[in-house]
Amino acid sequence: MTPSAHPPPPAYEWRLPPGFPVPRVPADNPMTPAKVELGRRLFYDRVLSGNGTYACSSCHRQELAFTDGRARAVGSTGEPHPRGALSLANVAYGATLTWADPRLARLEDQARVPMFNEHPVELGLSGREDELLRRLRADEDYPGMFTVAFPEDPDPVSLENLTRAIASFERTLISGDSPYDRLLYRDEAGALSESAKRGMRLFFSERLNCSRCHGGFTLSGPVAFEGARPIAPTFHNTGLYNLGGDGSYPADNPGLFGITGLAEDMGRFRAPTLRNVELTAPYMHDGSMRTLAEVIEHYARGGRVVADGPLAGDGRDSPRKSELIRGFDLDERGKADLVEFLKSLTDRSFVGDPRFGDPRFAAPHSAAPRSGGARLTAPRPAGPHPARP
Amino acid sequence: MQRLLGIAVLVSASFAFLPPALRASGGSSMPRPSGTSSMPPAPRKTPEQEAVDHYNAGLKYRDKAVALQKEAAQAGSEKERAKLEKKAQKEFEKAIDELRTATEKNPMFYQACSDLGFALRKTGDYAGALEVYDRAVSLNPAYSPAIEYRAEAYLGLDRVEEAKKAYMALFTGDRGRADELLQAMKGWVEKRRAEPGTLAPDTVQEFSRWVGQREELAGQTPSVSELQQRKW
Ligand code: HEC
Ligand code: HEC
Repeated sequence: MTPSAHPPPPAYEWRLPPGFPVPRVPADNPMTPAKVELGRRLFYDRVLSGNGTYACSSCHRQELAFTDGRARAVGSTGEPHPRGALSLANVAYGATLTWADPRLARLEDQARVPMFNEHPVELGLSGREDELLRRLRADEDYPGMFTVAFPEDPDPVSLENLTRAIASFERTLISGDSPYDRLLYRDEAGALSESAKRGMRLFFSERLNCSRCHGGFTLSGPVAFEGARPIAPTFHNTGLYNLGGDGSYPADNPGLFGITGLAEDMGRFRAPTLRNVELTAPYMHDGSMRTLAEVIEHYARGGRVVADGPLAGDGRDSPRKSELIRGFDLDERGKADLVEFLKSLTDRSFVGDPRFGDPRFAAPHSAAPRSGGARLTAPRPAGPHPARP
Repeated sequence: MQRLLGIAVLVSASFAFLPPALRASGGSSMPRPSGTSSMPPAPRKTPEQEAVDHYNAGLKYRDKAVALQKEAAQAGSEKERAKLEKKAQKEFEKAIDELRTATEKNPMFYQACSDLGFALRKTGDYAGALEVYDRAVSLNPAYSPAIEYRAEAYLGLDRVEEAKKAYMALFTGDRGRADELLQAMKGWVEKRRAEPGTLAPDTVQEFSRWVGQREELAGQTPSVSELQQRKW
């Protein structure tokens, strides 16, 4: 590489799985290996919390496909979040971000939310922006890394660049090496068990309708990518609650209604990706279902019944429920098959990929400029990526 | 897709060798204005420009041949059918001459290679077709028409494993072409069931099963672009 002043960044080498399109990247934040490396470091660094106890990775753990294993997330000061942490697998393709916000579409914007949120406090950095920047500037590595990542910026250690770097790292979190992918895109007929194949037929059937909402290569709601037509975000009420018989959801989680105020939006949430769903329990926006079997029971019934307590009500009768949630008859074998299929969406290489792990467990990275398409890090030593039971 | 990206780089690199006239049109056929008497005499054509002229002429013959074959398929009598089919073959031969000249005048002309392959295949020259398809694909590995047509030539030669590989390449890159190839594969299965030739019946059976499985998978999983059109 020539040491010329600021050569334009070389085209980023995505290394996408077969069948995956090129993610959409904002024009003002092109992908570069240096930004990705910096973003990864920040993602895992507790310097990003007000009290030094939390990082993004506290709630987005690689071994859990970047969720946290909790029903609802808990912030750095112990404050509970009303919703569960979402998986970051293939987050680069999300047409909208978070459980129910149609306005949030850019990862650069989203990264500010956990940092500066006050209701609830997540990383607790609100009002401490200067302190954060001071800490970063005083660090041994960061000033050099920011300079390499943002060579044109005379004052590179800024919040804007920080969120750009984190977003760049997040865009690399691509998961497409599950047994399902190996069957579909690599023609490995034996990748799925017979039971999982039967489950796949059920999943994509018109009777069960799962793929009507969890669709496409991400098995999620609408996606965005390079060259795709823009698509309206979609949110669905799946009949989890029916408080007072008018379809209401608990006050702390009204879904899309919380933003639009439209009655019809009560309880509408985004259909999350089902990739790696085996690793992301508990389920639903509030973690109110512990197992996949429980989730399937809910869909088969056509809505959940909460027998008593303040949340009592029968979701099946909700006037706000999506018409696609109609219930279906499925015997025990069918239910087991469907669970088997959902488990075939687990991508073990994604949750064990050293490129996505904590850089402190990897060989020390240099702050020197990297040539285009450089490997992100050396493989980390036999390290902790515990497989979940 | 990543593959496509790499290829785009490769293709644009290969364009660097093309003369500007063709580079501007991406190497594809482009009607050229013909000189009129009031204009000064047109400058001598470059070989690449001549290649385009031959290519366009070849496509005309090809289209005529395809139309004749369609007519033949609907003909009332066997005699009529045979007559039309013979006429079609004649047109394909003219197309072959023109397209071959186009590929000789411009050796980088992958579209001409691909269409020449099509015409050769239609006259039963599968081996000749394969040769030019190979050339088209090596000139532009992302050119899905050549990948699909080549796979059909493989089928014509009973090389089913290679046809399967081509299907998988199209499945991730160009679902419309993949679907077309799958239809051709079904046609092959039917034909070989009726007249297995030297093929082991197991081969046909096995392939038929594979086609059925891929058809089911394709039906279940729309391509990403189709997903963007769905409404709910
Ligand atoms: C306290 C736990 C917590 C921390 C810390 C945290 N997150 Fe999250 N994250 C969540 C929760 C909860 C959601 C769902 C939020 C919602 O729907 O309102 C979420 C959602 C997201 C999403 C949206 C995913 C999608 O598919 O739409 C992204 C991206 C994300 N977080 C990135 C980050 C980054 C980057 C950081 C560090 C700057 C971070 N998170 C820190 C809990 C956390
Ligand atoms: C009407 C659209 C729709 C249909 C149909 C649908 N889902 Fe969902 N799914 C959603 C939404 C929306 C959520 C999140 C709901 C919430 O948290 O309130 C969800 C959540 C889930 C979850 C939990 C994911 C997580 O990470 O928490 C699983 C598992 C799931 N669905 C599986 C299925 C299966 C299996 C089917 C078919 C039987 C199905 N879905 C049919 C929209 C749908």
